[in-house]
Amino acid sequence: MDKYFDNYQQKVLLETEAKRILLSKGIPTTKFQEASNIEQALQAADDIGYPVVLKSLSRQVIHKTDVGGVKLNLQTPQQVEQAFQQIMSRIKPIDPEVKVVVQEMIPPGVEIIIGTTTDPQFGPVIMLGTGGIFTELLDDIVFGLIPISEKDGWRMMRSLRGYPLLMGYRGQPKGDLDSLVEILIKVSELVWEKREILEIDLNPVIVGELGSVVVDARFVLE
Amino acid sequence: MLNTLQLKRLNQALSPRTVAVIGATKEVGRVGFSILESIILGGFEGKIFPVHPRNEEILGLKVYPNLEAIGEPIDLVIIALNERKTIDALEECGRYDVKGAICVAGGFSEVGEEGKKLQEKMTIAAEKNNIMLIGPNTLGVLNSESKLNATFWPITLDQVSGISLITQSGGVGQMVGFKMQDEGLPINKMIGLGNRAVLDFDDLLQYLNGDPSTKVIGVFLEGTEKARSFVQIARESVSRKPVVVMKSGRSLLAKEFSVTHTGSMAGSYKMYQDIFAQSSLLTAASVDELVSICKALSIAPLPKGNGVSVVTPTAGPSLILVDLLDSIGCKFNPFSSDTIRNMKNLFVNVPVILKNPLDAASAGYSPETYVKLVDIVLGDPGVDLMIPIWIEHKNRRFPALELAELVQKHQKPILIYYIGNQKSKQNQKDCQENGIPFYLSPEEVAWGAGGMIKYRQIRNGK
Repeated sequence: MDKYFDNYQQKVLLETEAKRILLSKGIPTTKFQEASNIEQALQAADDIGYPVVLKSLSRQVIHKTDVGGVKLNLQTPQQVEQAFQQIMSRIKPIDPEVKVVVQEMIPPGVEIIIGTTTDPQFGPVIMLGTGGIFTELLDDIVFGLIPISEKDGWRMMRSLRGYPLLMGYRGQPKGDLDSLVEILIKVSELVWEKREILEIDLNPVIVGELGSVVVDARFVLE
Repeated sequence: MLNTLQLKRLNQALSPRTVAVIGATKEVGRVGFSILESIILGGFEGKIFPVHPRNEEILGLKVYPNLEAIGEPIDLVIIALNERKTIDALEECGRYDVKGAICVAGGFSEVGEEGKKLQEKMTIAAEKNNIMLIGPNTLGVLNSESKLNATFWPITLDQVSGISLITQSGGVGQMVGFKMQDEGLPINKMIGLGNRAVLDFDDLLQYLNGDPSTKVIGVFLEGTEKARSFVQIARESVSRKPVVVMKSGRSLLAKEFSVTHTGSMAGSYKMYQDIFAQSSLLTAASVDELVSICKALSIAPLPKGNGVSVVTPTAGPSLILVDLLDSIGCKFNPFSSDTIRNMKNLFVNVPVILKNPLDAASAGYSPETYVKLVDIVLGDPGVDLMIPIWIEHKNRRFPALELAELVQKHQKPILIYYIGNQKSKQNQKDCQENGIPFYLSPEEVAWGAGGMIKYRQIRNGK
């Protein structure tokens, strides 16, 4: 894993850089491939399998959704091509180096947020929260002092008001809770081992019947 | 966190044989007078040395011009000078190997950049000389066990409870102190931390955890840079004794105010609460809750489960109580068939519905029947903790001592919810001297019960 850290000069990592670190720690993420042109984007979509997601990959643009840098649920090569052009036309003027990342589209599940921060009083702290459309309404988060134990992980998850959603609310399938707790603990371990990570924001992590996957990731290094 | 030598010096400083007050004065309105008065009023049995360059006698004590003139080792110095002179006094303490110092003056990190620099000087002066420094900007320290009242709050110290307190704020220390007096459990030790130039929450928690007469540790906290170290020590402490924390700074306004109060960043309230829970600390949202929990944990045996029973001579108050107990995870198990049979023998021809919670109505007015009923209920395997309700009445004797015998017999906690007022001092005393926490409100008795059940779960690793 060290090789991922040695080369980075930037404070905020690209999504693909963040995800490679997560994968190296055994934390599942959506499949992804970078592409600089339309041909590469189409090839990536073929490799990953439709439907796909296209996102801009730029050090200048951190909040990519705000500038039209995210295109979801692309079903055909035509749609991929169109999305690629739209992203480029929006972001190239800001960052001539912009690339895209093609990702698999994950089936819906319960959206969860996992974050870490370096608190001036506690040092490394992890946060688990209910994501999706209710995030701001519920303000449903729980903190844990890093490193957390497995017991802490389960306790944190059960203490969420959104926990019934994970248990299968109104006929929805029950989420794979073990896989979520496993991610939580691995993120805690990662930050404990790598103190140069000041912040992590995994939003969303989608918890499905058969496992949990990090869909978007943001790292801030020292 | 303190090493063995530092811990030894702190113990010497807080249970001193000799105390000096630098800045002692004859002027009644001033802090330098109140501190000396407190030490005398508290009944300190060691030697007291007031220090002042000109005075010759204060409150009947000989005054010394400086530490050198005292000519014997000093365990604790209380410095009641302004912020600049305080630092000079600390240097003087260093020259005579003073073990610990309490600096009451404000004007340090809580007032801005210049004050911060001054406080850094203070930290250096104390650490260089290995002085266990408490403060600055503190009410002081109270150690009832050593009959030491080293605060500018002149109160007498007569009895001692098993409850000790670490508080960032002296004012909250006094709130807790007065409340504990009302509750018949005078504080054992109180340490006002103030700005924490040297000693912080983690250090004092370590000290109280090793203090044999402290059974329960209460904490009032605004915020601390030693938060991680504090919860780590707390985790180790809770297997030995419970730690109950009250944290302020829920609102943005209180957070901002805290910086100018004891110079601390308040930190995220939610983050603190969650990490307290993770670290096996009990939490309280008010002074009353803090004291109620500490009271139960300091005098009653721990319950073995979360089964609760309420027995009452009047239904209404028990309804209020049951709502509160239900919301904190107490379980009202149905009575066993043996219990029901025993109750039927007790209530011959009396219409009592034999359910938990139990309204004994007028049958519960007689002290004899009441005690028998509590005995039967405590014998039920589904009851781990019991709250009998009693209403003060001129013509009915409250059977405190008989109830205390039942605690011994069954080894289960009884918490009394006594419908009366502060005039019921004798009943409070009879109960609490015999292991029964005595409460005057349903909220308080529920907090006490909840604290006991939570602490039992923590001890069992649940």
